[in-house]
Amino acid sequence: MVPELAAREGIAAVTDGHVKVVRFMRAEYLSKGTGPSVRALGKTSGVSVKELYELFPKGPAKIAARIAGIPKPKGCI
Amino acid sequence: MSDTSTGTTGTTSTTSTTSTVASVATPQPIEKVSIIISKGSLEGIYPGLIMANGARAEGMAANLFFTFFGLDAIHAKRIEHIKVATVGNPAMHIPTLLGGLPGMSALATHMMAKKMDDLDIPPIAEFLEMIADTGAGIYACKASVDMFGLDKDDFIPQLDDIITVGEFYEMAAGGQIIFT
Repeated sequence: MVPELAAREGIAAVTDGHVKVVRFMRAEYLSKGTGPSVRALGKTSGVSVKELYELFPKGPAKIAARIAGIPKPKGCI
Repeated sequence: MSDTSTGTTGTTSTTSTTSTVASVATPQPIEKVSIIISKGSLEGIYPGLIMANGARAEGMAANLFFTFFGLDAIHAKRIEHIKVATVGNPAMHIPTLLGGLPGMSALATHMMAKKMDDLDIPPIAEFLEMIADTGAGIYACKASVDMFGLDKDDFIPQLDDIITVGEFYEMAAGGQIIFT
């Protein structure tokens, strides 16, 4: 289902990297009740901030959360 | 302040509550921000960094421009010694005379750094590395660089370029400009 949802966000070719980030976001949300910000993602997901922006140029946490079906992460950093 | 279409939309949407008008404009999303950091104190630098990082997180293009004392934030050596201003800052809630005592600024900075660390707000050097990784541009103002007798080697490696005010406006075209 990730490819269909990603296509709606303008991501044409879904890679393992996209899937990894989306799954991670979902798992974090289910265990902590909130999805991680970009900084937290970069520190804990195993995908660097640079790679995150290459995968999701329109905002990694924001777009990955949308694909993962979780609320947009809160936090300013 | 800077762009044409965005300013008035807030009032139109509150006044026309009934759904009669098809022409109620939805605010256009901001596509690009150019953020100028002109101050060299901790409290003068962080807001611009947070706004640039936040803009990228929202998918906007973002460029940071450092001018005057703001250059300290990208100066390879001074970046580690950015301090909170304890004098001339009523929001510190300490008498100005006390704020001027030796070590007060260092103390306030230390306390704030600890608080920021608890909140996972990165130190300035690390924050700028992260902001560069988001794809935001980092630029220094040529007039200020010349005035302080600096050159490219004095700055952190994330600095993209030293540019003139004219080049800044070309780069900022079509977006919002934020001066801090």
